Amino acid sequence: MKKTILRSVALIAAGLLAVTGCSANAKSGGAADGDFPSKDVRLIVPWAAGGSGDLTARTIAPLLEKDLGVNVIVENKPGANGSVAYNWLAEQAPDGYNLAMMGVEVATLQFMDYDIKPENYAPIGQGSSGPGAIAVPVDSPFKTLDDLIEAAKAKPGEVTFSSPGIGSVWDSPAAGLQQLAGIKLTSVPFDGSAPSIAAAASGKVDFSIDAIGSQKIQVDGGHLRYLATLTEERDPNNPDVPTTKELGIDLQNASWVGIMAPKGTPEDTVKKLSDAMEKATADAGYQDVIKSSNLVPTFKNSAEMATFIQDEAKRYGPWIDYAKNNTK
Amino acid sequence: MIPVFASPVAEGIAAVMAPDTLLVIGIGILIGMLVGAFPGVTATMAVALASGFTLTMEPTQGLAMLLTIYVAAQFGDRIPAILINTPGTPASIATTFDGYPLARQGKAGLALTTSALGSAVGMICGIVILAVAAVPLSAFAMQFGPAEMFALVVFGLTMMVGVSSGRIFKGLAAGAFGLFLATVGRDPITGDQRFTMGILELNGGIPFIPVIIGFFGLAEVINQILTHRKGKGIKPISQMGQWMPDSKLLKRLAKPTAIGAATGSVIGLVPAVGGDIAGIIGWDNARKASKKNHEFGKGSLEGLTAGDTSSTATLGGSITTTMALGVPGDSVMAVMIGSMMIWGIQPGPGLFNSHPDLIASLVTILLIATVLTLILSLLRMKGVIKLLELPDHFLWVVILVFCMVGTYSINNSVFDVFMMLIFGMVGLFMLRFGFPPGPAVLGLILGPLAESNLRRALLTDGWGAIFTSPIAVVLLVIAVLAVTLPPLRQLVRRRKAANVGKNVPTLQP
Amino acid sequence: MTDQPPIEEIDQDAAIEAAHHHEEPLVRDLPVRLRELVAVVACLGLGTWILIAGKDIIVRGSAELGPVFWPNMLGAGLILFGAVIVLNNVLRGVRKADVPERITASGLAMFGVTMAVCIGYLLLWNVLQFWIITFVALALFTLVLGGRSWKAVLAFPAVTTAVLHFLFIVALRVPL
Repeated sequence: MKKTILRSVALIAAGLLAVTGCSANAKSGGAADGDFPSKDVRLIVPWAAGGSGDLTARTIAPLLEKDLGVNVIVENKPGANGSVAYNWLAEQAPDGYNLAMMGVEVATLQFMDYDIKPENYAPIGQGSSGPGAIAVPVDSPFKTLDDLIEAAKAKPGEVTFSSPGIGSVWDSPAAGLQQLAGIKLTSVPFDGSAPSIAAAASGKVDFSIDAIGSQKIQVDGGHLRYLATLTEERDPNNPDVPTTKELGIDLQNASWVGIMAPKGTPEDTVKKLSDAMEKATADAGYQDVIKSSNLVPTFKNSAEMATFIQDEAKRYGPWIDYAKNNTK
Repeated sequence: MIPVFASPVAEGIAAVMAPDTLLVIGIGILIGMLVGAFPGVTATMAVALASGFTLTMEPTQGLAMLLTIYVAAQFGDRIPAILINTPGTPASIATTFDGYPLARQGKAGLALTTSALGSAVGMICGIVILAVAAVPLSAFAMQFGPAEMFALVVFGLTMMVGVSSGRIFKGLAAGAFGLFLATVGRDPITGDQRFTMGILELNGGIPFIPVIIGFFGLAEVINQILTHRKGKGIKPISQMGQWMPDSKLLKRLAKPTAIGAATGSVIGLVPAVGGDIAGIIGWDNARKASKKNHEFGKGSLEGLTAGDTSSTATLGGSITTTMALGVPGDSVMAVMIGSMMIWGIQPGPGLFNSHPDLIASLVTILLIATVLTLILSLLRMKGVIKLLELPDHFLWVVILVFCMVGTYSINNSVFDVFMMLIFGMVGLFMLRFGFPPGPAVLGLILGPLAESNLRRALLTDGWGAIFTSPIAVVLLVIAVLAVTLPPLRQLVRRRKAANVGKNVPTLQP
Repeated sequence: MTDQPPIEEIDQDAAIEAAHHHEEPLVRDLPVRLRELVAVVACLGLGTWILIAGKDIIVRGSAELGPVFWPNMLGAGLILFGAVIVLNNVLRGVRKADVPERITASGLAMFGVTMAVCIGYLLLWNVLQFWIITFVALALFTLVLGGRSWKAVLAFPAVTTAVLHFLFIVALRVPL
C-alpha cells in the first residue's frame, strides 16, 4: 500500500520536474561590463505583497523585461519599514542585476534611528506619485482650512488628526503644517493609511492628512470632505478644492515610488535601466494600472531623482524631529 | 429582501455561472486547499501571489479566483491543525485545541469531517450576512474606533483564562509573555525601538506566523522525539474509527455551531480582526455554554466545531466591511483591495450603489466555492489520513522540513526560520513545564491591538473616549462578566450537586 | 460506529467527572514540586528582565501611558504570576495530567543531532542550491530519527525534495 503511494508520488514529482525544468535556478553566467544585461535582473520589493507599491513593481517588471531582453524577477523582502530590503541592497554587488523598489523611506528612515543612508544607493528613476490632501469628516464644523487653523490656535493641542504612523510620509507634512501655520495639533498614529483614513471618516479624529487617492474612497462615499490639496496646482480631478498654497500655507507633499540600485553601479548601466524605466512608465497599460490605483504616473530620471531624494531628506528631517519632540 | 428576479441580482449571478468563471473557481479551490494545508503558506500569501496573474482577467473571474482561494484555504488549514498540531494558517489556531487531541485519540477521521462541516456552516452564515445586511452592518463596523477596538480586545483577553486548560496562573503568565512579545519592535505611537536588542529585523516586531508554527508544530515534534522510546507500541492515531457524525452527535453539535456562527459573524465585521481571534473566542464562548466544558482542550468535538465555525463565519463580515467601508476586514482583504481597484471596483461606501450586481456575484462565488470545497474535503479525507500511516520518523522529518521551508516562504527570510526554531524551543519549554501555548498566542495576536488602541483612544479624548462610547462600555461590561460569572456559576452548580448527593443532574437538553 | 459507547453513557460519566472535578488528586512528590521552580524562575527572570530592559526605551511627551507603561505592566504581571505559581504549584502540588512524559536518553541524543542538522541546513540555506542541501538534510534527519533502509535514506529524501521544489520554487515562486 505504502509502496504504491510512494512510487506514484515519485513518478508524479519526477514528471513535474521534467516538465518545469530547473528554470528557477538560472543563477549562472557572469557579465562583462559593456553588455548589460546578460542575465536575469532581480527587483526587490521592500513591502509585503499586495500593496500599491508591490503592484507597481509587478506591473513595471514585464515592461522592463521587454526593453532589457532579460527576465526581471520580482521578490518581496518586507520587514522593519523596508529597511531589511534597503540594507540588503546596499550590500549587493553594484552591477545593476540587483535592484529594489523605493519610497520616501530611503530618505527618511535615517531620522528614525535606522542605518539607511540615501548616499548608499544609485537611484534609477521614479514611477508614480500620490499627492496629498487634507480632509475632514463631512459634518465637521471646519468649512475651510482657515477654520481648522483658527480652532487649533484657540485651543492648542485639542485638534487631532490621524496619520499612518509617526515619521511616515503623511505624518511628516502635518508637522510642516503646524510649523507654517504656527499651530499645535495632536497626532494620532495608526497602523497604515486605511485605518487612519477610516478613523477620520467616522469622526474619531478631526481631520486626515493623506494621499488624495487614498481619501477618495471616503470622499466618494460621503464620509469625508477635502479642505485643501497639498499640490502646486489644483488637482485636475478635484478642480473645486483649493491648494494649501492658495490659502497662504506653502506646503506640498506627495508619496512616491521609484527604483534604485546599490551605490557604485556603472553610469551606463544606470542610464540603460533609467531609459528602460522611462519607456515603461510611458506605456498605456502601466498608466492605466497606476491611475486606477488613484496614483499619478510620473517619471523622473536618475539624475533628477538623486537631487529629489536629497531635497526630500532636507524637508523631512526637521519635520520628523518636530513630530518626535511634540508627541503628546 | 432583494427581489431575486430584479436585473442586477440576476446579472450578478449569471456573471458567475459562466463556464470560464466556474473553471477559475475550480482552480482556486485546488490552490486554496493546497496552500492552506502547508504551514507557513497562508491565504494572504496565496492571494497576493495570485493577484499578480489575475490582474489581466475580467473582474468577475479575478474576484472568483481570489475569493475561492481564500475560502478553500480555510478548509485546507484545518488538516495540519488536526493531524500534526500545526495550524496551516493562523485561522486554525483554535482547531489545534481539540482537533489534535481528537486525532491522538484515534478520531482523526471524525474530527476532519466535523471540522469541515462546521467550517462550511460558518462560511454560509457569513455569506448570508453579506447577502442580506451588508450595508446596514457596515455602519455598525464604522463605529469601531480605537476606544471600541480596545474594549473588544480586552474582552478577547479574558479568553486567556479559558484557553489555559485549567492551569490558570501559568496560563496568565503565558498570556503576559505573549503580550510582551507583541511589544517588541517599534512603539506604535512614538516610533521608538522597544526590546529590539540591536537586531534590525526585530524593528518590524516578532513575526507572528513563525511563532505559532514553532509553538504548536515544532514544539510538539521535538517533544515526541525527546520522549521517544523504541517500540513504544501502537500509534493510536492511525485508527480512524467513525467517519461521519451520527444524528445524535449532530444534535449535540447544534449549540456550539450556533454559538460559533454568531461569534464569528459579529467579530468578522470588526475591521482588521480576522478568523484567528474569532476562532479562539468562539471556542471559549462554546466552552462556557457547554455542559461538558471539562472536555474542551482534551478532544471535544463541540470545541472543534465552535472554533472552526466561528473562524470561517468571519469571512462574510470581513468582505462586508472591506467592500462597504474600504477598510480591510483582515489581511487577505487588505491584499484584495489593491486588485479590486485595478479592476475599477473601488471598495468603499459608494460601492454597492455603483455596482448593485456585485453583492449577488460575490455571494454566488462564495456559495459555490464553499459547497465545492466541502465536497472535495469530504472526498479526499481518507487520502489525507494516509499521511498518519507513515512511521514516526518520516512524519517528523516531513513536519520539520515543511515547517522550515514554509516559514521561509512567508517573507523569503532566513531570520524568520531562525525565529521559528527559537520559538519552537520556547514552546518546548512551555510544554515541558506546563505553560499552555494558547494564551501566549492569544496575547501575541491581541497585544498590538490592545496597547496601540488604548493609547490612541487616550490621545483623542483621554479616558473619556472609552467611557463615553456605548459600544466600548458594553464590551467592557461583558468582559468583566466573562471573568466573574463562570466561577460563580460553577460554585452554584457544585452546591446543587452536593445537595442532591449522588443524583448527578442529567445533561441531556 | 458500534465500537463507541452510546452518547448518553458518555454524558453520564462526564457529568459525574465534572461534579467531582475539583477533587482531582494532586501529585505531591517533592521532585515534581521542585521541578515547578524552573517555571517560577522563568517567570521571575523574564519579568525582571522586562523591567530592566524597559528602562532603555525613550520616553517623549507627556501622554498618559507612554511607551513603557504596557511592558512594565506585563513585567510586573509575570513576577506576580511567578510568585503565585510558588504558592500554587510548588507548595501544593501539580495535577497528574500536567506532569510531562519522561525524556529518554536516546530521545535527547536524537534531539541534539536534529537541532545541529537544522542549524547547519539554515546556515547553508542561501549558500548552496536548495535541492542539494535539502536532500542532504532530509537524508540526515531520516537517518538520525530512525530510518535505516535505502528507501528511507535515499528515496524518501529525493521524493520530498522534488515535492518541495515543485511546490515552493515552481508553483509559489519562492526564491530559494
